[in-house]
Amino acid sequence: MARKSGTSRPGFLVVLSFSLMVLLIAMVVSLSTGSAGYKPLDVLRVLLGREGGPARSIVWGIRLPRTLLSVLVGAALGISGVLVQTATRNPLAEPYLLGISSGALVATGLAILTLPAGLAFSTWITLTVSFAGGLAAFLVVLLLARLAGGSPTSLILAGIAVSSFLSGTTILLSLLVQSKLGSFIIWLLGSFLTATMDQVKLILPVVAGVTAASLALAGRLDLLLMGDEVAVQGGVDPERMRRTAVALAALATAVSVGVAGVIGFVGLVVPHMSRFLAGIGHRRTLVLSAVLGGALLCMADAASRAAGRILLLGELPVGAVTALIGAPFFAFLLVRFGRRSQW
Amino acid sequence: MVRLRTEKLACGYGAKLVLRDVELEVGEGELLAVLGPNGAGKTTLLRTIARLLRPVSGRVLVDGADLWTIDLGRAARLVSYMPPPPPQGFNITVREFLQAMRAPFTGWAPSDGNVDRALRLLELEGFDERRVDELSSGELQRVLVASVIAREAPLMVLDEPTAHLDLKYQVRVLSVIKREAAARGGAAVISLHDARLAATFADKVALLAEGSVRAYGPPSRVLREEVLSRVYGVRILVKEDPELGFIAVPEAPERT
Repeated sequence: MARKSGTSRPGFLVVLSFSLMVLLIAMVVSLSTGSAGYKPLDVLRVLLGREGGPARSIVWGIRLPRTLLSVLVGAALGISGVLVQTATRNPLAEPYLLGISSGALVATGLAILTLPAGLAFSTWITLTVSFAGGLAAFLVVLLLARLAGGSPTSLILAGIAVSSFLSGTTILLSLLVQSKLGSFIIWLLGSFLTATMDQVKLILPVVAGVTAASLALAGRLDLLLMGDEVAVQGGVDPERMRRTAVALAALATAVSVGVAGVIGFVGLVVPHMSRFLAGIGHRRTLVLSAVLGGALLCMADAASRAAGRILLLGELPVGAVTALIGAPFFAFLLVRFGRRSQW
Repeated sequence: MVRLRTEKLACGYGAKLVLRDVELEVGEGELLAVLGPNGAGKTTLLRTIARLLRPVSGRVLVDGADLWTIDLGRAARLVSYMPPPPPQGFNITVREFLQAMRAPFTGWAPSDGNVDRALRLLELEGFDERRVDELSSGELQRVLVASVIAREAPLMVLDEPTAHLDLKYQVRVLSVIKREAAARGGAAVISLHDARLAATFADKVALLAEGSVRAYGPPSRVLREEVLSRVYGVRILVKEDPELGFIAVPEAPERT
């Protein structure tokens, strides 16, 4: 009965260094994966400017943007996951709960349906349209939640209501865009197929900004997680803090959906992994979630390319890969750590 | 020395008035027990005193200053309210919870302060790395009380601190609260259901019923047979036994 410890965790710096190493390895693997079979060493030489020719344009023009974009989107989803789970005090919550993904999908579907093809598929248009759609849906969720009293539960229920409605609309739209279904599916399932350096430059400041703002609010997020009473007595207005947290998550998620479509599971799993490794303190969990989210999605993207080649499917949607690999991995963690914590 | 006083306090939720004309005063290490039937407004009163619920009218004064006009951070260092359990599924450890509760008293990094002392007082040594989700309801209750002790606020407000506790810990928890209130030169306001515990530990008792304070004063004056029977709407027998002390029990029902 009297168990002294059992949850003693490794030091944070050890965990962080290890995670950064995993991230680095994931990036090298991602840079070395593709139809042109360059070895990691070749890639490194290209990056250091010691190699020219076609290798140069493939690594710099295609693989590097793709790798960086997957890391940034992974980090954004990881951090958004922490923010949303804390704001709703629900460990099952994830960024897409806020209606952002479904809002973005509906907006994108509408754009594909109504705009001329050349316009509808330009980076800027799709990004703008899906970002606006995601945020608009999120604002409706926020408004609904506020009308319902502003509690964590009302936020979840409002998110479910709006998401369900928009998901239905998405299905309807995918039937209507039939002839262009291929390009719409990229959004539905998530992909880094169209990654460019422009997209990287665009979402980098947003992800960096949201990360910095979340870290600045870390102490208040600790209090918010513990309960409204604890927050008030820590000098924090819980309802306002909740809105700030989900707004930051919405911003990061909306740009992520804008550049890569809907990629499930990262925002749900990464916060749990971080808490397993570093505890609930937000200063640590947020940093670790950014690193692990980036590593996880970067690996998943590399896996989607490799698996696609092996299966002769061209490329698998990364969203399918995160679910296929992430879910069993998460189940393993759940059983492993769940059992350890019992006695 | 810190004194808490309510002045013509009316509390409730929005337009719904729960209590009015509440005039109470505690300080100098006193323990005030709030009793009353279910739904009488005990929790509403305690939340209003702890600055979690804005008064409908009237004021909550700490050393003469209106608790609602002073800075939120300063108020948090003056009054501490026993929190509800933290959310499930986040693997929060007992120590992490107690550290978070100490936020108003610490800087950037979480600090232990008197977390270990609080754990010791509530016989929770060795529980610090346990996950809150895995505790029994009685152990969790002691952790919640410990979180109030771990804070250094002179005014402590605890809604039913003896809930879920066995006979031993009911007494233990109340004596810890009373001793802390005295040591801090502050006061504790708690709600209770057991009139015997109130008679044993409280310096003052406020009996709530039907939207106001029906009786207020030292336990011997408030916890009387006719007062209790009238407020609870059932015959309550009160005895002062030389060996057992104060006893208050509802009349035995017919055996069925």
